[in-house]
Amino acid sequence: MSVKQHLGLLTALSVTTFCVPSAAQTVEELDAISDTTNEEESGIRFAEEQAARGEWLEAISTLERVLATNPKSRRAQLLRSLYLCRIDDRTGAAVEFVKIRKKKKNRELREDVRAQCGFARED
Amino acid sequence: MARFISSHRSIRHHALVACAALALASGGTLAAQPVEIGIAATVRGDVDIRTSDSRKWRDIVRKQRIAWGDMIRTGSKGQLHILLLDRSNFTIVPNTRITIDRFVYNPEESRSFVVRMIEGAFRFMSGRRTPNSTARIDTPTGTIGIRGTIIDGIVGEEAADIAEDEPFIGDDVDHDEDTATLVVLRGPGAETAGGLTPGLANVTAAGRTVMLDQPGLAAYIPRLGAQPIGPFPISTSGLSKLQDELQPSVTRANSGGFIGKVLAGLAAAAAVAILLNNEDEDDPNNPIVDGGHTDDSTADDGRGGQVE
Repeated sequence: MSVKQHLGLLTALSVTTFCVPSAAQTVEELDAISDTTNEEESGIRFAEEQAARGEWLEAISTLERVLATNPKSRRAQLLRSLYLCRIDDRTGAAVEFVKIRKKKKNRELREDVRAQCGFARED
Repeated sequence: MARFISSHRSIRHHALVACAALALASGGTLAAQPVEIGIAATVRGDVDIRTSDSRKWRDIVRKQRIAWGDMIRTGSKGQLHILLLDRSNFTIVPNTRITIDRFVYNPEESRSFVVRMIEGAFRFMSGRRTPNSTARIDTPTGTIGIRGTIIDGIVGEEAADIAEDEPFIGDDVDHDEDTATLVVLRGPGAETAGGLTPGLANVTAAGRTVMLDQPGLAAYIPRLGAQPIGPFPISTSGLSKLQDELQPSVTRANSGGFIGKVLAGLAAAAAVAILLNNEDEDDPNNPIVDGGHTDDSTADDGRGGQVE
């Protein structure tokens, strides 16, 4: 067995023994997260749960993935805008907020986001 | 027992370092045992992957494993969200090419992520709060070192287009439409909820480092060999254009087509100004009003701008 083969075997053993085990289980968790965020309702619910735990960055990235597959989801857009305010990116939140189409069914959430972000009225 | 755990952690730490060193040293040998770093959590449109042991590009599918050395490219309508083991999210958009250079994660101790950006646009969002977390994004013109943050970046013609309209960027700047790089820190800011660590990014090129430490601050590298310009507060219209690049499907859904997109872009800056008209102009955290800090002294620290 050559030196390079020994090195390769050692690498494979090291990777398998120490790098992968904790990851392997976690990768399965990532699959579950992917399934959850692939659906609008479950994805938004998951983001709200993360936000309730104060995991704001994770909540925002969850909503980004929801929007990748459900780009018309006004609720996801509004929540993302709200969570951007929560992490002190108020200007970024405002830039996104003004682009969200006004829909009757989301009026209450829109007003809630406006109030919580301290946005002035547009009209 | 505590001593055993401590010892175990130490062994594990050394093992992780060994993994990294051996993997780097063995090069192609590692391909037989790919080090999985995360998954393709969301795939939209045409996205291809080429693993380190292959010369062939293949379609990427949702939940596909992503590993060290993988090269990924998106087509004109492609978009990919990579969910890393520490729950960090790396998004790439149409016409982007990247290579995953490194990811080492020990949930209790550290996370290190290095990705090479050849062209296109990205958004990186940090995941779980792990001590000693670092991330570095290498672009054709410089490096971006990141600590616990959301950061947007764009490389190429669109970066130059946005920068050319920025009031802070002078008219006499020579832009290269292949390598121009624009980076914007999005947060968290000092007033963040949840006790998050405020975000920080160091943009380094040609021996100069620009520190971004407030949401809305930007740095711009106009061409290969040029120093970064900044930090400067990106304009609302510039930020709006960048967001459109990073979420094209959402932009289309909101605008109803190209004409709508143009009109929305023109109106966005004015509408944002109205929304924020109660902004406190004395607030040092207001990126529209204030800038950040520049630090030339960290340029040659050998870390390539990586933040620790």
